[in-house]
Amino acid sequence: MTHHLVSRRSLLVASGSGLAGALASRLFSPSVALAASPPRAKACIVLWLNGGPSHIDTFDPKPGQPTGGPFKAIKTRARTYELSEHLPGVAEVADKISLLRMTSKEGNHQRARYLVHTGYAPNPTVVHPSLGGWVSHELGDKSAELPQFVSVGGPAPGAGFLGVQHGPFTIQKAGAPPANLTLARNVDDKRLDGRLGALAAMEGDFERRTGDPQVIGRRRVYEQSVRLMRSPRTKLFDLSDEPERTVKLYGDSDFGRGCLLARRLVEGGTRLVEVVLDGWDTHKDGFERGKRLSAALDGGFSGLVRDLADRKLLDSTLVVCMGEFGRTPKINGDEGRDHYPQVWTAALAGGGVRGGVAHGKSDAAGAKIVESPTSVPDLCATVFTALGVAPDKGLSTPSGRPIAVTDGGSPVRAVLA
Amino acid sequence: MKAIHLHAALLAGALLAGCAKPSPTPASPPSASAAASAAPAAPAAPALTAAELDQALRDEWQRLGVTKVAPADDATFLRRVWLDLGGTIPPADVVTAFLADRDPQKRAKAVEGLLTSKQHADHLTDTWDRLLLGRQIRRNVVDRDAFRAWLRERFARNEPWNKLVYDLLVAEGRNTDKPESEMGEPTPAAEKASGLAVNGAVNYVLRFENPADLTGTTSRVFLGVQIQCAQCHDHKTEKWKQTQFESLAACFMQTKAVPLEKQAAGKKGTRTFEVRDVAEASARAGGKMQKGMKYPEYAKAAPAALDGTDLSRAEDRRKALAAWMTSKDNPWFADAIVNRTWGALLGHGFVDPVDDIRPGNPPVAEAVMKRLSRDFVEHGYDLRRLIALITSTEAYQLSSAPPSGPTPSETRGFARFRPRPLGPEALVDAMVAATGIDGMLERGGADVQTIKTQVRNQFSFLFDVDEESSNDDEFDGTIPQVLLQINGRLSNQGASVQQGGALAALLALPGDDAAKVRALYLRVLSREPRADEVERWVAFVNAPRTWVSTAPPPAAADAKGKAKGKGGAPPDPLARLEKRDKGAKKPAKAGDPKRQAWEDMLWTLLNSSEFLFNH
Repeated sequence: MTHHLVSRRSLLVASGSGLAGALASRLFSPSVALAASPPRAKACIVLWLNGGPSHIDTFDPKPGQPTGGPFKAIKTRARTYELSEHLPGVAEVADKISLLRMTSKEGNHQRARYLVHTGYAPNPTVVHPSLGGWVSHELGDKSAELPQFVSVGGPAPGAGFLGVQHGPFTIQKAGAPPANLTLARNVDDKRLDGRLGALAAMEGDFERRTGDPQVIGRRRVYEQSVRLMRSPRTKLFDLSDEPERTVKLYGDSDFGRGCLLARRLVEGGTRLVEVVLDGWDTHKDGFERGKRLSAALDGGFSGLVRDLADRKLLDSTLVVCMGEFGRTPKINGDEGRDHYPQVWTAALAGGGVRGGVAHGKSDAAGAKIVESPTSVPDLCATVFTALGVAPDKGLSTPSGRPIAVTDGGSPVRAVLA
Repeated sequence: MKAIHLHAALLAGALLAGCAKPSPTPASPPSASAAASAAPAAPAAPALTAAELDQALRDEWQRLGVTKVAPADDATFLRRVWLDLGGTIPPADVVTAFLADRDPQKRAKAVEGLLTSKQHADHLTDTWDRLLLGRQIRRNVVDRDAFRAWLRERFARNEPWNKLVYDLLVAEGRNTDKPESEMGEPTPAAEKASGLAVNGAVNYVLRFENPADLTGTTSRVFLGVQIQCAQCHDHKTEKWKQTQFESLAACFMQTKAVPLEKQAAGKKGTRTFEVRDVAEASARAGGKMQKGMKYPEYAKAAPAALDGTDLSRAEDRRKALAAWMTSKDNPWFADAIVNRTWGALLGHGFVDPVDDIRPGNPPVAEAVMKRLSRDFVEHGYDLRRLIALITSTEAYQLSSAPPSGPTPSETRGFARFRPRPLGPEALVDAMVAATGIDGMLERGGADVQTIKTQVRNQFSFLFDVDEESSNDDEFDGTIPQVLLQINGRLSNQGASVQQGGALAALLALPGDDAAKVRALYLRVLSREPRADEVERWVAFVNAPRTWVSTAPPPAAADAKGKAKGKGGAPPDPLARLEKRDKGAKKPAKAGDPKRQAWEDMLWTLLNSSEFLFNH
């Protein structure tokens, strides 16, 4: 491998002076020791609200404000915060969920998705790994049968410079088995072994000829694919053996079924599952659409938290629910709201996280964070801390550039257990 | 080697002179500057040679302290130019002839042959169709075939780039060539339609749901300037202001998409629209708007080009903008296409990502980029000349061997050819060429073109390409792609011995096993096998084995009931190959096990990184 783990000390010692040294010291100098705390969470489930959900119409209601919109606010078990009336299930488990009032600066979908997934603003000289890539790299089991990073309803940002072997296994829709898991006609396991043996010889040869990390990464993916094909755990993708009662918890939506699948995969050894609920880019008809989207979110999110708690898995599974930004307090001429990175909310539950806290506060209109804003690097640092990865842990990219898992973020202690 | 290289470069120069035909003037010159920019370069500026570029790159390597790797051998070079220029691998007989050819100028000649081939026009059409329309489009509004035909015609005659872009940007007319008899109920607007002729290029405007996306994509693709971030706010690190974005968008606000037939429920096919420019700016212009959407902020803004050139006095703003964009004085236009072309050929742009040219993202080897840009403008925006020049450079002809020397960076300064995975289109085409699966399908009376399109879509879907992204690294070979490669029908049926296919034809040839190994290498990997490889494979096919017979995997449709609602994988267009084979239903009687050994060999070649990468 061309990149390798470097401890903070060895990096500093090895680099000494020069550019690498300067970079490293800049990177690691904020002398607060962000030592890895004992991990609480072993796995992470990200509920990705694609398009940018309106914070005002979901997790940060502003009833009575001229721009508050038609949704009422309801009390929750958290007591410290209210939610939109269209999230009644989440309100019921709010004592297990904490909210971070976020602020960021990227208002373009693509750039904001990159920022929130990787913790870094897009930069042309390096492709940063997404959270899933980092988790696969840092916590993943290299001989696992199930992919360590799964995206349901993706595309999901990949593992960047960590290589394709830490990228997402994408399934379009929960319920159906992944495509192409079955051997082709007239090919049995023995015949496949023969093919793979011959392939290994060719690959070794080509690796020597090119020495290219992409080639090496691809070979790892072949190994992962064959392990998956041959694993009895592929039956986890088929939800039909799940009891009716459990299925109901998650609500009748693709997103709900995605959340159920996420729980099953985490039980089977996957480290990070991202479940996508698309459609939040509500420039138009925001309230009608918001109602429908909230129904799916409510079932999926609350069902997941309940089910994980029932199974005693919530303590070891971190659940993060977020999108790429919030939406304007101003309601536009089409009953919608536009992009608004200045204010949004990330919700955290489970492993390593204390429930029932709302950290930070937006103003009366939801236009500005007026108290304890959380930045994207801070959010990442919080998530990594809960997962037992030191937020300032450094890696070196293939071109020798030091990069830390978060862009200088500090964990939000108020929500960490 | 060096002498040969220089000869080739000289020859390339001679060919290039031939390529640079005087550029036709735009049909209706919008302004003096556009007409001037399209004029042939006379008196001819000293023509740029590959040798000059090589020297500039060597200077760069010296400056960076990197050492170039060894040059690529002939077989590697040929496969590379075929993939880059033709979008597929070379046929085996072309490989053998090329390897046997003693002509020192054979590399330049191969490039010349490809540049004037139909494949090249098709490949450029694929590339630009994808870039401009995206992989997923609104088929009820956009006639992709008409758009492709428009592009193909221009690439086939090597239309000067400035003229092609100008014509695309100002296109007016109908989007689709639908006969009167198939037209739906006319809209009230249809009566007032101008009766413009069909013009496939208008589908570009129709692809967009709002003027902001049209503006952002036009600037990003043709100028390499990412101004779309300024749609919502002033750009933080670069100079772009939100008002500049609005002024640029204002240039498209006279461009209306007028439906000529009403939307009919359940009716398939593309609705007819007429795209035309009207006298007054409108809040519903600059794309095929969704119902009820209006953009008064752009309609009200004062139209201006990105450099501040005031276009508010122009009668036709779109023409004025296109003239400014394609003018030889435009600071981005030539750099953008030169950088994109270099990036496509070398795997990494001078500026990378290739469509993000800005002071904060400075180019590598800037001198080389600037020199190429100048030559491109001076020689009539001739794409073929540009490609011939780049492919004749030492950098393009380097091998993908591991970089040597103290610098760990693999790409800096282009001192090594960077291997890259084939994209979905090239992969499907290469697999079809290697397996002859089209021949098998033809034997079964199938519509090969349709099936090929379906298979391409199947691959594109799994490759899950982000169409806004310009980075080919997105084609990265994740587990779903690899599972398709391991178990999918294109590699398995393709590798089977079936009438019409490559393996059946090859096994029928006279010759020993070694000759067959050699033929398979030439067909699939486009090179001669080394002696140790021949030996290894001859041993492989002769190893004792028994015939394996199993049922085909369940069709994708079987899984449909389990997932609620829409979605799920569409039926596999290649499943028909299993049905045709009589053995599919009942366990086949045992055949010659060696036949399956050959199938395993072909499968292995198709799954090898050497095949799956352009290297």
